Amino acid sequence: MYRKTKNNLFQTYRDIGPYLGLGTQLAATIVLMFFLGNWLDEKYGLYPVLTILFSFLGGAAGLYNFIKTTLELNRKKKSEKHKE
Amino acid sequence: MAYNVEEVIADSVHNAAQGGNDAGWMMHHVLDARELDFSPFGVVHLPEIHLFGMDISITKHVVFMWLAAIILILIFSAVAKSYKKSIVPKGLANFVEILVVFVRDEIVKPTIGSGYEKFLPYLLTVFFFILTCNFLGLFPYGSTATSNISVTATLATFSFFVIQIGGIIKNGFIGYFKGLMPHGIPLWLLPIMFVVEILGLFTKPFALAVRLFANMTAGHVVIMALIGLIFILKSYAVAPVSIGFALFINLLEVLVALIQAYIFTILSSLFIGMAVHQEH
Amino acid sequence: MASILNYALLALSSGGEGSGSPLDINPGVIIWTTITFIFLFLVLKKMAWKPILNSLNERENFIRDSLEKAEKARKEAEELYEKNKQNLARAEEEAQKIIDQGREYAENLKKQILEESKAEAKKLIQDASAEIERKNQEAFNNLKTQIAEIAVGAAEKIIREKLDEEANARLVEKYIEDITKG
Repeated sequence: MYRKTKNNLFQTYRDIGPYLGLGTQLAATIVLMFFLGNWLDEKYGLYPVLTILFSFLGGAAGLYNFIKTTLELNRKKKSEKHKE
Repeated sequence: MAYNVEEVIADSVHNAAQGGNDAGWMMHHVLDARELDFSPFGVVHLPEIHLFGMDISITKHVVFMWLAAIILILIFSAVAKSYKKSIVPKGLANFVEILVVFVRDEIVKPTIGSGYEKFLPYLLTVFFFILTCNFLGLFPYGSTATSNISVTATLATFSFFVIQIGGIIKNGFIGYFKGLMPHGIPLWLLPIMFVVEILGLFTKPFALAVRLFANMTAGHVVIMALIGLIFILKSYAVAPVSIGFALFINLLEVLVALIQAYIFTILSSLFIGMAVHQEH
Repeated sequence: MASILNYALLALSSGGEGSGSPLDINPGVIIWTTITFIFLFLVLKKMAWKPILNSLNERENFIRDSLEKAEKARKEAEELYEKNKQNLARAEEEAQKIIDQGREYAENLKKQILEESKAEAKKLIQDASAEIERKNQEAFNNLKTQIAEIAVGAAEKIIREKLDEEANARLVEKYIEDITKG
C-alpha cells in the first residue's frame, strides 16, 4: 500500500543493507572467538592451541550463521515479492 | 573517487604515525570525555559521580544521549498531540509519520511477519534513538554517542534480550532451544550444532554493536584525518581539497547515519523474526 | 567501506596511548545508557507509539473502508447504468417496432385507399360514360322521333298542299335515310 517510487540509491541501500551487515557478523564471530581462545590460552597457559581452535570454530560458526541468515533473508524477500 | 579518498586517509594516518605524534588529536573528537568542549567559548566540566565503588560519572556521550532522548520526547509528544487534533498529519507529523511507516512496513512487517506489533515499540525506539544520536554528531560541537562501544554494546544487549525473550515467549523455553537446531542432522553433530547456534546467539548482537560503533567512529576519523592533512603537510594549498573531501565525507556521514540506524533495526528485527518464527 | 573501516581501526590502535582507546568499556556509560534507553522506551511507548500507531491504524482502516465503500458504490452505479442501458435499448427497440408497425399499417392503408379510390374513380367514369351513352341514345331517339314527327308534319303539309303523294313520300323517305346515314 505504501509502495511509493523511491530514489534509486535509497532503494539499493534498502535491499543490500541487511547483507552489508552480515559481513560484519561473520568477522565479528571470528574475532570474538579468537579473543575468547586467546583469553583462555592465557588463563590456562595453553598458547596457541585454544586460540587456533577457537578461531576455526568461530569461522565455522560464523559461516554457518552467515548462510543461515542469508537464506532467511532470501526467503523473506521472496515472500515479500510474492505478496506484491 | 573512493580510491582517492582511501589513499588520502592512508597517507594521513601514515604521516601521523611517522611524525611521532600520536593520533590523539584526532581521537580527541571521537572519544568520550569528562567535559563538553565548546572551545573557543569555553569548557563545561561534567560532574563525577561514584556509586558503590563504581565510576558512573556523566560523560560527553551521556549528555548527548540525554539530548537525543529529550529531542525525541519533544518531537514525538508534539506529533502525538497533533494526531489528537486531527487524523490527517501536517508538517512535522507528516515527516515523522513517513519514518514511522517506513520502520513498520519496510523493516518490521516483512522481517517478523505475524505478531510484529509487540516488537514495534522497541524497534521504533531503537531506530529513532540511534538515528538521533548519529545525527547529533554531525553538528558543530556535537558528539556521537553511538561511536562509543559501551553505548552500542548496551543497545545490542537490549536487542539480545528482546530476541531471546521474544523467542522463548512464543515457542516455550524448551521449544525455543529445540527449534534452534536444524532438522534432520545426525545425532553426533548435535552437540557441535548446539554450540554453534548458542555462539550465533551471542555473536549476532556483538556484530550489531561493533558495526554501529565502527561505522560511526570511522566517519569521524576520516573527516579528522582529511582536515589533519592541512597541518601534517604544512601547506594551506591542501586546505581546499581537504575541506572539499571532508564536506563530501560529511554528506556521506548523513547517509551513513541513516543506513546504520536502518541496519541495526532491520537486523534486530530479522533476528527477532528468526527467533519467533523458527524453521519447522 | 571495508577499507575505510580498516584505516579507522589503524587510527584507533595508534591513538591508544594516553588518551585511552575507543574500545575501552566504560561501565558508567553502560549504566547511563541502560537507564536512558529504558526511560526513553517507556516514555515514548506510552506517549508516542501508542497514540501514533493507533491513529495510523485507524486512518488506514478508515481509508480501506472508504475505498471499499467507494468501490462498492461504483459497482452498484455501474450495474444500475448497465441496467438502464439495457432498459433503454429495449424501449428503443419496442418503439422502433411500434413505428415500423405503424408505418406498415399506414402503407397498407394508403395502398388500400388508393386502390379503392382508383376503383371508385373508374366506376364513376364508367357510370358517367354509360350515362352519356344512354343520354346520347335518348337524345338520338328523341331527335329521330322529332324528325319523324317534323317530317310527318312536313309531309302532311305537303300532302295537304300538293297531292302528289307518292313522289313526295319517296322523296321524304330518301331524305330520312340520308339523315340516318349521315
